[in-house]
Amino acid sequence: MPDWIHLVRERLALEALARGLEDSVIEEIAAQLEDCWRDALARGASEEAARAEALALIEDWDRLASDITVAVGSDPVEAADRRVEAAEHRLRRHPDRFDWLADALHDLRLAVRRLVRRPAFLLLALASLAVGLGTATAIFSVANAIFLRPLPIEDPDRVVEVFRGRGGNHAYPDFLRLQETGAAFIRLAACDEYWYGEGADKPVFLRSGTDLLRVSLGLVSGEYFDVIGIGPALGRLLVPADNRPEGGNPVAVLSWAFWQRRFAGRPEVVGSEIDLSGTSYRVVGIARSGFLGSSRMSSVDVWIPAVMRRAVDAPDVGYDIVTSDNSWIEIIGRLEPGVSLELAQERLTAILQQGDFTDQFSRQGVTVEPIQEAALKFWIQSRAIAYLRLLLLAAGLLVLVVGVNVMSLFLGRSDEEAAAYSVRRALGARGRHLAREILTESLLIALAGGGLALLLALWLNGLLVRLLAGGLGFSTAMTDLSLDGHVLGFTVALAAAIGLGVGIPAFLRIPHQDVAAGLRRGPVTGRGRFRLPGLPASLVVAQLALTMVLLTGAGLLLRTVVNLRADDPGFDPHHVLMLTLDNEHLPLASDQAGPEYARLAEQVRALPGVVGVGIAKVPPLAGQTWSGRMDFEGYAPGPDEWAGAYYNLVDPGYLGMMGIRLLRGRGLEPEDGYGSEPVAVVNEALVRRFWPGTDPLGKTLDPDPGEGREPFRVVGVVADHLYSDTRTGRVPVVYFPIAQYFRRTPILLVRTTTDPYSFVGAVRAAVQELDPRLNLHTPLTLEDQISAAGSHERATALLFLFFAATALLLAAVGTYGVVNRMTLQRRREIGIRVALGARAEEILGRVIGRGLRLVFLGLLLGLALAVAGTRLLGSLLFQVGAFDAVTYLAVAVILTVAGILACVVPARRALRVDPIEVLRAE
Amino acid sequence: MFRTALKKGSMELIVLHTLTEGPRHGYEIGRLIELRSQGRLTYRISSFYPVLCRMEKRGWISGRWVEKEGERRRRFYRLTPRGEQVLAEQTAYWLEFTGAIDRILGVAHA
Repeated sequence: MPDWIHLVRERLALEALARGLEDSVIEEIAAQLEDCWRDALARGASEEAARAEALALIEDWDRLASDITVAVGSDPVEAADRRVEAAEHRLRRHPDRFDWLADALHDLRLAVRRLVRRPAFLLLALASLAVGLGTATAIFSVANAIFLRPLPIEDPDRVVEVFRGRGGNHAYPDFLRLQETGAAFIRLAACDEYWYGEGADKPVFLRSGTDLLRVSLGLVSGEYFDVIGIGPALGRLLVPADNRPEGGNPVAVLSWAFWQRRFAGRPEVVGSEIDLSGTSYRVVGIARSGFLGSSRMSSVDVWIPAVMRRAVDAPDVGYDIVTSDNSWIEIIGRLEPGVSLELAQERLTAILQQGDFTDQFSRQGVTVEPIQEAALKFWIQSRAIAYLRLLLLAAGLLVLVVGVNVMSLFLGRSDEEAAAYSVRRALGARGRHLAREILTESLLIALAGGGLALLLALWLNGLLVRLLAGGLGFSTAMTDLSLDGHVLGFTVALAAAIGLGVGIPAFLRIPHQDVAAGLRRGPVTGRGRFRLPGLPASLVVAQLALTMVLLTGAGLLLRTVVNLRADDPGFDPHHVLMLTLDNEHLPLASDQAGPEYARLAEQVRALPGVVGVGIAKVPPLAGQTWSGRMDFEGYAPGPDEWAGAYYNLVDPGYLGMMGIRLLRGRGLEPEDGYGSEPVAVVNEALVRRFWPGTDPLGKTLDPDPGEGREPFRVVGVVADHLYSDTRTGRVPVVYFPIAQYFRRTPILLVRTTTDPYSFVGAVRAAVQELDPRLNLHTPLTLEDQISAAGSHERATALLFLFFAATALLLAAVGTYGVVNRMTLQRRREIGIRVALGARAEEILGRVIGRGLRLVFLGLLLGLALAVAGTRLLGSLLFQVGAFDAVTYLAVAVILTVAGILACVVPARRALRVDPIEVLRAE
Repeated sequence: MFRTALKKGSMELIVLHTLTEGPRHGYEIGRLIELRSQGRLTYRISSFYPVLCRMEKRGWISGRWVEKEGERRRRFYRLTPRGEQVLAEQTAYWLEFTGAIDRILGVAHA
C-alpha cells in the first residue's frame, strides 16, 4: 500500500496552517485517497490503476492547498466573533443575572457579522449617515452655543437682568438708588458690554508704542464679578471700592482669552499699566478662563469700572454718569436664596413706586428676567438668527433625506432576506428575537454613523466658525462650537431615532403569519411587467421631493447673491484705500475742522502714487446708514409720509475722487467752510422724489426742522450711487460739507495707482507728521469692503448649496438603487424580451421611463413642499420672488438630469443582457 | 458542466442534505453525492474538501475523529443546529429560485 500520508504531505503545501491542523487535514485527505484506492482494488483494478484513480481525485494540489488555507484560515471577523462567543459563554454560567447581556452580545455579534459581510451596503449607509448627521450636528452646535449652553457663570439660574420697561437700559443714578433699597433680596450690579464691545460703532484701542489693537471693552460696577459669581485666575477682580468717583480709578481686569492672546499669559502683566484710548489703566487681575461677559453676545477683552466712562468717550460728548439721566447701562442682579423671580419683580416694582427715580424709569416700570433669556431677547430678531433658523431647517431636511436613504437601503436588504426570515419563523424563531436582531443591526449602523458624524462635525465646525464669525457677525462666545453634552446627546438621539425609524419598518415587513407568502415575496417580486418595489420607490420619491426643496432654497439664495453683487455701484471702487481717522479725543472746535481736514487731505495727496483723496463720514457700501427727517423747500409731505434723506458729510475732494458724476451745478468747494452760507449737493434720487420736474438748484433743505437754523441751499446735483448696501439701493442722499456739519472720526479715502494696502504705512506717517495724536486704523480697500458686503447671504447660500448637493447625491444614489434592483430582478425577463426581438431603445426606454416616473412624482411633491417652504426665505431674498419660475425650472431640470444619469447605468446593464446566457443560467 | 455551479455554493446545500441521515465521513459524502446524482456530479477532493473545511469553520457541520475496530481512523461529520437552520433556509431559497425559473421558462409544475 502506498504511504498516503507521506504522499499528501509531499505534495500539499500547507505551511500557513497551524501544525496540528495541518496534520489533521493531511490525514483526512490521505484517508479519502486510501478509501478510493481500496474501492478500486475491490473492483478488481490493478494496483497501478487504483493509485492513478485515487490521485485523479485531486486535480491541482497547489489550488487545493490555497483553497484549504482560505477556508480554515483566520479571518479577523471570525476571530473577534470567537472572543465574543467566549465572553458569552462565561456570562451564561451566571444564568439569571446576565442573560440579557449575553443575549445582547449575541445579537451584536450577529449584527456585526451581517454588516461586515455586506461592505457596499455598510459603506453607503455609513457615508450618508456621517454626512447628514455630521452637518446637522455642526449646525446644531451653533444653535447650542447660542441658545442652550448655560453661561459660564456661577448658578446662572439665580442671575437676572432688571429692565426699565420691557427691555430698556438705565441711567446710572437709578442703579445707585435701586442698589441702596434692594440690597436685602437682590445683589445688583451695573454693566455695559455693548457700546464699546465687539464690533461696536465706537472702537477702543489698546496702544503700545505706535501699534493699535482694537479691544472689546466692558464697563462694569464694582459689584459685577460678585453678582456673576466668578473668581480671578490671577490678581483680583473689580470690587465695590473701585466705584470711586468718576475718572479717578483707572484699573482694569483682563479676560483670560485676551491675556493669552495679547500678552501670551505672562503673569507680570498684572500690576502693569496699559493705555486704552489715551488713558492709562493699571491691570489688577485676570478673570477666570472661559468667562467673556454676562451675555453670549459679549466677548469682552478688558473690564474697567463704569465710573471711567468719561475717559472712554470723546471729550465733547462725555457726561457725568453719576448725575446724568442718560439711559445707557444694564442692571443685573443675583437673587438672594429663597427669593423667586416673581417676588423680586414684585418688590422692585414696589420700590420703584416709592423711590426717587428718573421720570422714564418711574413711568415705564421694571421687568425682571432670567439673564440667560434676557441676553438673547434682542438678538433673536436679527437677520443672523433668521439665517441660522433657515440653516437648521435645511439641516433638518438633509437629515430626513439621509434617514430615508438609509431606510431604503435597509429595506432593500431586508427584502432580500425576507425569505430567510420567513423560514426562520416557520422553524419557530420568535418574533421578538427577529425584531431584536434587526433592531440591533439598524441601531448599530445608525450609532456608528453618528460616531463618524461627530468626527465630521468637529471638522465642519472649523469651517462654520470662520463663516459665522466673518459672514454673520457672531460673537466669539457664540462661535465656541466645542462638543458638549447637548451636542453629543443631540447626535446620539438623532442617530437612535434613525436606527429605530429604519429598523421597525424593516421588521414589520417580515411576513408574520403566512410563511408561504413570505417565501413567494422573496428575492423575486412582481409578475410579468416591470414593477417597482413599492416602499423603496416611495422613499425615493420622498427623497427627491426633499432634495427639490433644498435645491430651490439654494437656487433662490444664489440668485440673491448674484443680485446683490454691486457691479455698478455708481462710483469707481478700484484702488481706493480707506482708513478710519480717529480724532475722537482731540480738542477740535467746529470752526477748525474744515481747515484741519483740508490740510490733512493735502498732506496725503502729496504722496507719490496717490491720485485722489477724499474724506467722508459715511463710507459707501459699508452697511452703515445715517438718515433723518428733513424739510424740503416746496414739498409738503402727506400725513403719514416720512420725508427724509440719507446723510453724508464730505470734504471738497470726495465727490471727484470717488468718480461720482456731477450732473448739474457745482460740487462742494473749499470756500464752503464754517461760517459761510450752508450749501449741499443732492443726488438724482432725491430730486426725483422731492423736486420732480423742477430746477433743484437754489432750493433749500433743512436737516434739523424746527430748530430755527439756517437751511442748506442746493448748489449741485450728482448721479445716484449705492449707499449702504445693495438692498438699500439708490436712495436720496444729501452731501453736506463736513466743514459746515462737523463730525469726528470720519473715513479717509485715498485713490492710489497700485495696490492700495501698500500705502497704509506712508499715509499713516504723512498724517502723524501733521499731528502724532491722530490714529489711523482699520485699513480696508473699497473693493474688499464691497465684496464683504454680501457675505451673510454668500455664507448661507454656500451652506444651502452644500446641503442641496449632498441631498441630490443621496437622492440620485437612491434612484439608482431602486432602478438597479428592478433591472436586476427583471434580468431574465429582459433577456427573454431581447430574445423575442425587443430593440435596444425599447429596453432603454422602459428602464429610464421607470426611473423618470419616480423623478416626476418627486418633483410634483417637491414643488408643493418648496412652495410652502421657500416662503420662509421671504425677507432674505433680493430681487427674486420666493416663487421664481426660473429657479424652479432650473431645479426641475437638474433633478431630471440627475434622475436620467442615475438610470443610465442600470439601463446600460439591461442592454448588455445576453439572452442566451441568461436563459442558460436558469 | 456542473463543476462551476458546484463551486458556487449549491455544493453546501448538497453536503448539508447528505448529513441529514446521520454522521458520515468525507469520502462517504463524496461518493454518495456522485451516486445520487447518477454520476452527473463527480467527486473531486480538490473542489469538495475546501467546502467541507469552510462549512465546519462556519459551524454548520462539526467533524470528529472516530476509530473503529480494525479500520484506520476517519473523520465523521454531523449537522449542527446552525447547519440545520442553514439547510432549511437554503432549501427554501433553492425551491423558490428553481420554481421561479420554471415559471419563467414555462415548465409545468409537477
